Amino acid sequence: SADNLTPRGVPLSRAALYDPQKNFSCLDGSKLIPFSFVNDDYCDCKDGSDEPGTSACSRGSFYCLNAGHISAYISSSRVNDGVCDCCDGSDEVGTLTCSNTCEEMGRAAREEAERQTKLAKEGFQKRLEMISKGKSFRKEKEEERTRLDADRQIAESVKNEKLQLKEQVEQPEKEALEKYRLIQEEKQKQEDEQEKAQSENEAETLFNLLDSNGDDKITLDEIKVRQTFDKNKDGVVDEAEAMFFLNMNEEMSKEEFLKSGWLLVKPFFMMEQGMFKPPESGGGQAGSEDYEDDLEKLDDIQNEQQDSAKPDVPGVEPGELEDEEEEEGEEEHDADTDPEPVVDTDPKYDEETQALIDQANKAREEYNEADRNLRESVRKLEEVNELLNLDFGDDDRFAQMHGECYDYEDKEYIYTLCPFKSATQKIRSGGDVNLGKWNAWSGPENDKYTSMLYDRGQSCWNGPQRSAKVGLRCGLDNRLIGVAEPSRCEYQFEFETPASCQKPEASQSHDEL
Amino acid sequence: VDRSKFRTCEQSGFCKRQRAVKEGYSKYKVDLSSGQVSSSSDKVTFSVVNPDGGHKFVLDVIAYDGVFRVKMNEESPLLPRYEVEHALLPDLKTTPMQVSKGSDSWTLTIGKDDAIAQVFGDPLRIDFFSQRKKVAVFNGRSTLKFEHLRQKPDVNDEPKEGEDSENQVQEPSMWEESFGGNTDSKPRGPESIAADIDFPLTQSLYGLPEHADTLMLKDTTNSDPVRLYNLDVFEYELDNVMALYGAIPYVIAHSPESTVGVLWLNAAETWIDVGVSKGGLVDSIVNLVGGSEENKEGRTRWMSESGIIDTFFFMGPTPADVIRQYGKLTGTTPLPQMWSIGSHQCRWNYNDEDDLLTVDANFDKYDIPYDSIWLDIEYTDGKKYFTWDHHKFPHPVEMIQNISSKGRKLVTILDPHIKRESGYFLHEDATNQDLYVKDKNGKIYEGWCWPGSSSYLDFFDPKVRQYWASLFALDKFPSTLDTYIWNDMNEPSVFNGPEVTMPKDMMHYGNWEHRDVHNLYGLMHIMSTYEGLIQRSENRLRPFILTRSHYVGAQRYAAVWTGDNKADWGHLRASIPMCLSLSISGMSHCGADIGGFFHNPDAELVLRWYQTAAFQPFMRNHAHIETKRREPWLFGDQITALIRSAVQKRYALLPYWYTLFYENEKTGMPPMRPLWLQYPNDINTFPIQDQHMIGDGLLVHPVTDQGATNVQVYLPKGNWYDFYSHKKYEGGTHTLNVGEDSIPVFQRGGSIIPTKQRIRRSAFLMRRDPYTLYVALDENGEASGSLYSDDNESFEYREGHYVLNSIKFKNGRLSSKVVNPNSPFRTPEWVERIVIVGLNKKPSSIEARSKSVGQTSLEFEGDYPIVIRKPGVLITEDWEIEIA
Repeated sequence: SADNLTPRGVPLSRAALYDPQKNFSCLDGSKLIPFSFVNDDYCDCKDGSDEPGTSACSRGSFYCLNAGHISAYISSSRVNDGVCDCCDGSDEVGTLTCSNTCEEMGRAAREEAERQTKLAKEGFQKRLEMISKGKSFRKEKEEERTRLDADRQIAESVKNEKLQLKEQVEQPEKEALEKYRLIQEEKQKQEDEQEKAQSENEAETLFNLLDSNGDDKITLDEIKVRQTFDKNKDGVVDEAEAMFFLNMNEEMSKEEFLKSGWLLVKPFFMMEQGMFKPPESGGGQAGSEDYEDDLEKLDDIQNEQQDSAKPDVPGVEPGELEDEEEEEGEEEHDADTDPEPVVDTDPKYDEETQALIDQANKAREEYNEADRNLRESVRKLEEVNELLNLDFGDDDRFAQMHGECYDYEDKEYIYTLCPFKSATQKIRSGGDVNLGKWNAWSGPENDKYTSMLYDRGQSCWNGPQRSAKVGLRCGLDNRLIGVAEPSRCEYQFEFETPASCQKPEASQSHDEL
Repeated sequence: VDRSKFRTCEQSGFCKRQRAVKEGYSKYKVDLSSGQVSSSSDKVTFSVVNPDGGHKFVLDVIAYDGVFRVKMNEESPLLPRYEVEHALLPDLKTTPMQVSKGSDSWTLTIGKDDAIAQVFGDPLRIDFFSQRKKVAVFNGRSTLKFEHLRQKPDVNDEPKEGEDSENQVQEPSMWEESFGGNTDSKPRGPESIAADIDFPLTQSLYGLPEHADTLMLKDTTNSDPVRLYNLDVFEYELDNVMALYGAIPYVIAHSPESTVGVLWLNAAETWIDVGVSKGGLVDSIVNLVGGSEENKEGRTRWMSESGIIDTFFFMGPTPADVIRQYGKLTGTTPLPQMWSIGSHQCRWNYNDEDDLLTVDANFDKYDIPYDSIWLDIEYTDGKKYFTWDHHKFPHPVEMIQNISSKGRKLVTILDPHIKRESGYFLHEDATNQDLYVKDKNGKIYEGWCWPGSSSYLDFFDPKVRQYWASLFALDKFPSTLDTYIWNDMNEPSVFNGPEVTMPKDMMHYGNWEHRDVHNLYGLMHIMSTYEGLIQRSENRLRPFILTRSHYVGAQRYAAVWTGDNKADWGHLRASIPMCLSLSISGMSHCGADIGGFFHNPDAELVLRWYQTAAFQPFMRNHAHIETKRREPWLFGDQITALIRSAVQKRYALLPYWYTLFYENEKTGMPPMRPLWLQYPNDINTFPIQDQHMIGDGLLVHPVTDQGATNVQVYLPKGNWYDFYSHKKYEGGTHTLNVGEDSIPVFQRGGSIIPTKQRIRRSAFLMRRDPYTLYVALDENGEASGSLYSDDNESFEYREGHYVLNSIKFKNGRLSSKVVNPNSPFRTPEWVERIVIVGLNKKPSSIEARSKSVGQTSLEFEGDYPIVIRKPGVLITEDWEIEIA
């Protein structure tokens, strides 16, 4: 039969290349050898073609027929090595007897193939749904963008209109307030002078009180005798405490005291007299840190007193009166936005002026609202633009996954993938670890939608920033099915989605069975 | 390395005291009249006295074949002093000496007059002569200092009348010593010993592993002495004499005239000062070449913290003799299983079963042979050894069977520290059965290691070794006979201990302090593991163990690697002198982590490392847990192909390696050799450490420089052939161009190298395959070689189940003789191809003769080299091939 004529390890389809009646020509044409050298367990041809049935050639291959299953080529290095590689056992002759498992494997393979076909079929159906949903998602978003853009244009013109209006009414307001400003300044000046005199008076009194020996300077000893200055409440006014009141010097002249020194002293007298209480220091005992805190708090109180001493003047930006710290905290505070109108409870203006102020306040309010509307509008537009710029696959088939998150739990962690956004790891006992932010599709050039990259995650101790790759494969649902960490801080996610299901082959290709 | 964690000599009390000793210090006198010769003349015993105070000592000179042993101890010490156990082979055979008694000296002779020891009385000195040349001198500089045990003096004690001056000196470090926040209580007080041993013929000294330093020892006058104290050193530095994981107090002094070895058998902390020309290596070579007589003496001075003086002089006269003599006393590396000289794949850590099996499958996918995959500490349940993490490795036995079905093995790590966790069977057993090391008050010692709070098994106790060995039973540790063992951290490493190890005042079995036995701890650990593997297979299979710590004799149980190296070119280069130094000191199954343990190697470094390691005895890819994956297919197709090619070259040469390892067991000759071992008279070879020999047939010069486009190769006198291109070279220095696929390997003219060219998935799967023999002829048209084969795994070879061929080429005839023709060993292995280089004419006909092929004419191709087609002869028969 033809089978007898086919050398071991050669498929019937290539049997003609091995003609026992002729010398054998190496298939790469490199050499002509007697046919008896074919499969004689010595490698003569560079391409290994003379030894299809033995392990003699390192580059050769062996054909397993594998009746009942899929036939295959294996490397010559696996022939007669004591391991059954072909399911029909044909790769091993001699010492080892391999059982033929092709029927069994073939059945399993066919079942698996059927399962795969079914999966591919159903999966591909779902993929089509995902595509259509993706497309309508994009369409929706594009429509939204058009709408939002129109909204933005309207908002912009409203804003401009309101700005004009505001400017129109602010001019007469400004003029009307000008005369008040002059009056106010005069008043302020008087008040300041009065206050200064009062302070000087107060300072003088305090000085005389402290300068017990009347030598026109205050010394450490004069401070130390006064329990008032026992800041840490340990019963003693020690050197350090005392020096604090003398601006860290041994003594203080009267001039310096009257100029500034008394301000350090005053709160302690006030405290002593119960005029105000320092804020509670959290109930802790008065340690040295608390003591520092107390000093800061005293400073705050002093500042507040100074601030409140200043009169409210319309047109004065409240921001100028605020602490610097607070200003820093309000990064979003926008210089373009006018301040909220000042509402003065104390009617200081004549009716006409007041009317102008009210009108201006209203215009400002309206303008601010228009401005907010515009910003909101721009923000929404940007959001949609960003979304539309995301690559949801060549036919938007992955769009549906946007905005969703998928979990996978193992023994220690819960992993969460929010496609196009982030990958995180939650430690069961504790917090979240950011494994990476969406970067790009990272599959091979010709197949880039098979893998996603999330990077710039939390840095590893002594290592790189964390990152995660997500491998995508065909499945009936969107599902995170596994997470591993092959190298420290480099994660590998496995994700199933119908969007990765390929179109089933029109006719399943069957190898000769 | 954080140097502040480790002592300098100055910071070590005894080293500081001993290093201060000046030449001519000691006045020890041998009372020659007291000399007693044993009944079989194998031992002479003398009384020795220190005239300074009158303390008495005993000096023994014992003879073995080609070896003198000099032992000195106190005559009656206050407490017993430790003598090293388990390092030497048991039941050593001594040999008789001729004793000739003179007035100022006794002369002791082994053999005719091959080796002579001349013992001088006043002062104590012993001169050693080999072939009538003075090759070594013991205490020639009178720096011997033996601190005898003494009572702790009261602070107010006045020195007593007649007390020796040494006893009068009181230094604070003698009775208590602190370092790095740890205090050593030193209850026995000062008990250090030191002596000088000089080598009149040479300054070419080798040995004293383990150090990340040059192969040839450097002068230590202006540095610390060489330190031997087994330590877990984090990110060790190159080119220095700081202690590392292993300690082998053994020096070979080599000169073209004679070679001698010295073993200082002491397991306590030891420092060795080396005196070679101040200029170091270069000067010493110049002096050798110039033959300047007065300055060629090499000097050593050995200082140990406790124990006794016990030294061995291996009298040579050739380096091979010294190695054989050392092997006969300390044992040789037993023939390893074939798979263990294949390629190994390790990582801290393969995460789970799936990960491990995927890596295994990828080796097949990328067609790269390998023989074992390794699991580091994370496979355990919470670092509890002899357990599995059931979540990550739920089916260990099935997993192992999966890889062993392709002839491969699993190697798992088992360290000596035991997690202190109640309910952990090993900890419970160790507590209940009293198996742990204790402190001086008898309390179980607790240290910090991988599992957290840990205690340490006292492997010095026979009961502990028996217990440990019993744990390997397959019903105790879920695994199979294809599981082998990696013993790490066995210095022992203790994260919170002084110098990252165990405090010296901890107590071991037999009431010995850790101080006395420290350098032996790892040896005792692997001895126990070895016993466990022997018991597990009922003495059938050869064990495989990889150890980090080692001492004299560790070669009998384990392979060794150079520990936690780094991914840089310097560490790649260092792997050669480090393994050469270990090889000549017995630890011949040596390798370094491919790629470097710490940090990430680039593709070029990984490739060059594979190419270098493919020609070293132990070949393993390993990486730290915080590094990127570095399996061979992760650096692009081009690099994958080049690594595949390097690994395939390794596998082709496995029959040669295996034959060399067989000879290693028989003779002690290591497979990886410095050139001078093969060419003892060629002084150019003495400093060479960027190339080495494999056996006596191959010379390798790996490419170990980044971006190298050429290498300088030194070839000793004779004919050499590029092993792959067959290009011929004469002896001398050659500059060779190299590409990224180059591994410069040369076959010595006169050698025959057995190979197998059918590269399979694993070494075990190649065991029945035929051989290709490479025959390279010398100037006389001759060559010789050996071929050894057996079942690759069992101890049956020890009962004669092996085949050894002696193959010779002479007068145009290649012939092979079975050295052991009565062997019951059967194998289908045959010779499929013979490649001959160096024939001066093209043959006209070639004919083979053997029992199995009869007389048959053979085809052949080419004229250079000649490739003989399919001789078909069997390795179990004698055969001849006639080339006409």
